[in-house]
Amino acid sequence: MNELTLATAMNGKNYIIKDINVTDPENLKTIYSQGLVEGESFHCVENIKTSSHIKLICIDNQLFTINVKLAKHIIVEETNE
Amino acid sequence: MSKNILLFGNPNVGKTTVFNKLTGSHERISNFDGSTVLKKTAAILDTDYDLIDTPGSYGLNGNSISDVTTLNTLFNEDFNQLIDVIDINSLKKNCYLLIDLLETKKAVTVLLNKTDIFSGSINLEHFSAVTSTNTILINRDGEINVNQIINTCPNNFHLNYHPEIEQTISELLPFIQPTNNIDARFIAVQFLKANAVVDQFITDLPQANILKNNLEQSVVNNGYANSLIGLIFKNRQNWIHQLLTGCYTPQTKNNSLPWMNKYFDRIALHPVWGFVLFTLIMYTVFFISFSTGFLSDYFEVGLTFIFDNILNVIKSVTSNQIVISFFEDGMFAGVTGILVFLPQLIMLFFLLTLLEGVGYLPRVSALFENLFNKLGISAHSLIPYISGLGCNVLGILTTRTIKNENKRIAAILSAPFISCSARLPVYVIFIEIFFPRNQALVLLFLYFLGIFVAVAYSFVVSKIVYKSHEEINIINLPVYNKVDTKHIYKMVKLKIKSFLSNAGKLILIGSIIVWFFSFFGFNGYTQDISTSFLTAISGNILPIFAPLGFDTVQATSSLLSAFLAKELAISSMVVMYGVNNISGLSGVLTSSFSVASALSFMVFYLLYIPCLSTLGAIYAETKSTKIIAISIVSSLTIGYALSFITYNIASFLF
Repeated sequence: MNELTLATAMNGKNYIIKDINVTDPENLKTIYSQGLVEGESFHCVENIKTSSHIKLICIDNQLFTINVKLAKHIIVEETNE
Repeated sequence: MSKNILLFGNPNVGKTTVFNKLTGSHERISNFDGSTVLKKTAAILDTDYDLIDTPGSYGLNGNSISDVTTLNTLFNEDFNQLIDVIDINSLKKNCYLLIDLLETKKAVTVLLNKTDIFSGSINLEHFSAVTSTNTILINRDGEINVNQIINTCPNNFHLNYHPEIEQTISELLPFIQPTNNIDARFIAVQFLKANAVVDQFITDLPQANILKNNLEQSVVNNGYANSLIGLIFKNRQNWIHQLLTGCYTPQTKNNSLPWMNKYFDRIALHPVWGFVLFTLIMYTVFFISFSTGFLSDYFEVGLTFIFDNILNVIKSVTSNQIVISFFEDGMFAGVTGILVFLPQLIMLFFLLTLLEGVGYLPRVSALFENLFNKLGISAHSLIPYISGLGCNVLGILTTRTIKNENKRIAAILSAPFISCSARLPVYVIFIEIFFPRNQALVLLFLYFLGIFVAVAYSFVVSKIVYKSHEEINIINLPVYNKVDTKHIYKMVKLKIKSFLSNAGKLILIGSIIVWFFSFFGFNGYTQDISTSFLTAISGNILPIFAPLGFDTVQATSSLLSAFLAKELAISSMVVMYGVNNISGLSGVLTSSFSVASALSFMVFYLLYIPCLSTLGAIYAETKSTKIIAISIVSSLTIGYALSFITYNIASFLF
């Protein structure tokens, strides 16, 4: 089965973060401190067409844009929550 | 016993509002990440405590200059209590910073803010007991009971990490020097989090690094997590989950602008329409600002009336020509020259504050991110650029949020190209005279030219000179909010007050200096400007400006004085042309400039050399005379080249 990453996640659906494959400690801390931690669920915001280089997600009631280069390293799984 | 309290919080939680409420201050409030970049201190009202505000942060990670500032405050300031301002609507995320603060073992007061838009539930007693904090609910508009926030209860917080992490922490403790009563365990955890700021407190760093590396290997090899940092955050996440389960139900009330949150972002963040909308919004901002120009005429009539009456009193006291000229040609002319533009400035400040207050400007950051990434520029550079629209000094200071040092230097060097509000009076008068039919369009061109040059310059510096690496970007977008008129009024008042007090002093002193050099020469007082010191000084550099179309003593001298402060340009012209008001200046400018040379002058004025305060800020941020030299030489070169091109194209067209 192909790994689903945040970069390929579909707008309007809910996901859970399975894995964050980032090696740089500084980047890792930036990601984790924003609440993007393995096990957290988030919503890919629908009906908003952003640049193909950013993903718009909602996590813990807050909207974020994440660049796709980073999103490719975040493994996610769709949930029904 | 120390009477200092440190104030912390994530960006956009209302930290600066809390600071202002508790201290009666009027610090600039913003919904940008990184609006607070410097440590600020003020006395808490009705107490003998001082409150120290720190830059907004998602965690004490030590990976940006503002983070380092926060950590240094923690390690060096004498304090006995911390306050963490938390947005109750996103409590889970805010808890990551809270854990960092709790691990210091200092007494912590938690202010759960934005309860006015919270319709969920929280068991305050449970939250307070588990976190070992004094927890208080507050809202954005209400007052804060100062006595409630003083917390003298001991902090008994303890988070148990994975057994192997706990084992390494206990092995690290003997290597840690106690500092500022900060718990050694906090330093150990930060060290394991790869926070380089705490390395200074480790007595045997090589040995400590061996322990950390061994732990890292064990974490990865045993499959506990992908990294040691990952495991620490996983443990923290579990603790937060346990804390909030059964104690907290998140539910945010329908926002005051639901239609904007639902539909507006479809356009604002759209890869094509987003830019169209941004251009339209900026055009409208400039159009409306210009439309208040008629108020300037009334303003000028009023100011002339006041100054004429004062002058009559002076003339009745003395007939000394030098004294009369000092007031008439120096002080009054110079001050009038800038005050008449207040209506336009107020409108510009109001509209930009409105855009920021409603939550639009952070969208612009996200919109430009793709373009900036492609050019190798930090997406966070947009914050200094937008801040620079008010004042370039503020733009330079907000570069502290950029983590990559090379990209930060690129942003520092490029931020002065952004057109600050001090440049507006020159544009207003020249555009009104030479481009009466396309006022907003020409102003839009100048602002966009500034942004274009800043971006292009930053691209060259970060891609070619400093060869920056790519950085990751996560941009927090606040929800659109209904405009808080009281807040907008306060902010505009603050900006105008700051403009008048800072610029006012400079303009008064600058006008007097310019008057002296314009009305005195080697033979003493003169009314013939061709025999003045100014003509003697600027005469030597006049030929340089001939290819740009404005080789007059008045034009070059105004550029020289504007180096002290950009606001001085118009005041200097009023003084040097020997006119008493803006109407008089309009008359002489028509005969001194052509359409092409006027446009060329505005382009040069936009791009040439940053003002003295901005250069001071650049030095303060970089401590490098080399950077100062690069800034001066490159801005002069770029300004000259683009002004030359503009003059020749405009001469051909008009």
